[in-house]
Amino acid sequence: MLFLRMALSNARRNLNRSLLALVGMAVAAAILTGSVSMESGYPREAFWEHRRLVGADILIFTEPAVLPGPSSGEELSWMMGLEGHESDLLTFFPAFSHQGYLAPADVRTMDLHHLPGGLEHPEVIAVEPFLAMPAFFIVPGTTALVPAVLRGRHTLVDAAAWNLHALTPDDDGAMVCLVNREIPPGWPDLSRVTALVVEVPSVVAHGPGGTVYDYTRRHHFTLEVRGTYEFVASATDLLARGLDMDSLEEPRYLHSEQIFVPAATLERIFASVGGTGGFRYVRQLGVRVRSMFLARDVAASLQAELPWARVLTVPQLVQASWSHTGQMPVTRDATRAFIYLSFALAGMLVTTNMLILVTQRRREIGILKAIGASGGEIILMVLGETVVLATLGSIMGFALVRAFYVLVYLASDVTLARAGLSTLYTAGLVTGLSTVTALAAGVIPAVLASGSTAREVLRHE
Amino acid sequence: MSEPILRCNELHKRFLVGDGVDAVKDVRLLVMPGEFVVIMGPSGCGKTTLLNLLGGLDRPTHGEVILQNRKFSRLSENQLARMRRTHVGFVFQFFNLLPDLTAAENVALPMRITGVDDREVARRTLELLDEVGMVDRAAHSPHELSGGEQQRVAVARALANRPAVVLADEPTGNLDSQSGCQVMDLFARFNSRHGQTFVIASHDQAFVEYATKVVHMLDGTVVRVEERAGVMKP
Repeated sequence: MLFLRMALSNARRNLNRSLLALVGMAVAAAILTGSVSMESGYPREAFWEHRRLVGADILIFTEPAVLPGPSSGEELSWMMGLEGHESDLLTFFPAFSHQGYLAPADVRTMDLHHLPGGLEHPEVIAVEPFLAMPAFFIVPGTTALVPAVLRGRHTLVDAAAWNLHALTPDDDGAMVCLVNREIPPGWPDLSRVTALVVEVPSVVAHGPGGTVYDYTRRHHFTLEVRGTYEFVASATDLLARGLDMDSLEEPRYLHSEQIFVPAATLERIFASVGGTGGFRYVRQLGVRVRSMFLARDVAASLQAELPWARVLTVPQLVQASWSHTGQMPVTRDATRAFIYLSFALAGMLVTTNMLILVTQRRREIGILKAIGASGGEIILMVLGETVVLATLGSIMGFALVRAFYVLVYLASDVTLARAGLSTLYTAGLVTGLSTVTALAAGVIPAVLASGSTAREVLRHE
Repeated sequence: MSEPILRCNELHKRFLVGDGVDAVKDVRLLVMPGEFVVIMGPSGCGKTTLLNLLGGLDRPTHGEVILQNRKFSRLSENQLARMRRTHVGFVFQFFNLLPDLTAAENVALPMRITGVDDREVARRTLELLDEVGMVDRAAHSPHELSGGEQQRVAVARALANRPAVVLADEPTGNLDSQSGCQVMDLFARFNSRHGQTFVIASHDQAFVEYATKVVHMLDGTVVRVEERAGVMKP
């Protein structure tokens, strides 16, 4: 404490130089804080990117349930610290929340009547077209409407993949449904109800440009709830979450806002709400292959046939979505280099400042040595002073920049708790790096100080 | 007969400046417990260098310093530092108080470095400041004190860890005659009342009145050692 006071008094005596070192460290800390804060803001960006990728036109997968459908997006988005649980809806019906839904301008669809020849590839086991319509269900016992996705499933083709045990081929065309065993946030437990009333908007147009719905005119359907389907968290999902599949004793499930109906049932509903010619234009195809070894071959042949389409294998999808959780590699490397450079410069400023201070304090250090301070204690004293300067500087830089980011986070719906945690993490990182820099910067002055001789203080002046 | 508290044999110090300067040449000295040794001699005769060697602030070119049976040559730098903090007190011509600390904190500093517990530090600091007549200036910074007052605080600091020997280099050299007398009285009082051993390098003939031994130096050598009896008491 005594040494700390001496250090602070000394810093005050040499205010200009101390401030220079302090500001240098503050700038470095500010740059680091800004960079880290931006990075933690990137997941939001990554979410949108991921959403775009989930909406890949053709997605190639192999394991049952490996398809990182919308729910995987949910999981990823959850991992990324986002509170949105609307990915099912927003992914497939991006303008769903707006009244008078219009199809997005750049929608390209695939015609189920003229599927790409690449799907004849011997590796392809099955094709799962994304048969989906927007819908609302009435919360049982109330009049409340909750948005959902009505998803058509082939009872034979999709049964193994999605655990559609409660549906049989005989149900195709019947007004039956399955709900997810994992209840999406804000949803009631629909697995306990026997019947579900859904409202489906009218189809205005259905063609290569997608489907246009009129939400002002809706049709009621009553679906018998047969049970639940399961989105088993796949190896890919777990990988994306950084979990080891073997470490989990029980399977993990992902929630979804999809209500499954047999494919022919969806066709029936489609026709009932004004659709003509069958549900033949879909925005996405899932392609199940025998193994991932040749998945890229399948992807390449499909890509050649449909150059406009985003054809991705599941590993590519996961890799792509995670690569977007941060910055682009070049940008990230450049930012890191800039951070290191700024800390190096700040360190040099601190070193210069301390070298001058040590020279000025030669006599003081001599006195301390004369009265018994060892070289190690002198080193600790000088290092303590550099750390004090650096810490003060880093706190200044951190506080200024982080305060701004916290405001931005709060304005963008990130919860206070999450912003707080992130702030603690950033604070630890910034002060830690500043301290390490200060220690490194203080070593030379400290060693020089410890090596100075005490005998000169006995000399007459 | 008791053992000498401090002694040096064949002590020699050569500075490698130009053709080399022999600042101290083959000095032999015995300091008995409770002695008041005054080293006299003209400027440049090697008094300060001898004190540096005796206090372990400098290493001799050859020869040995032995303080309470500890040979300096066998001690590492850190061991020397520890030895200085507990066995040697220094009083300098220019006081050398730390400007950022109060008088009391300056006195307490050697004890804090040694690791004495806070309560004992407080008690001992107060006791020493009382003995040097500076209790009422305990909270003052050095720049608020006169030269004589600063030197009294420096004396208290030198005595903080109850050292075996206090080495003082021209302790009155920067003081007016009245303050110088007060400091001399202080040394003599600690010597006579507490049996504190002092080795003082000084031009000031007045110190001779208090000395039990006067060492006369010239050109780095001890030319005469004068044992004295009937020391003047303060």
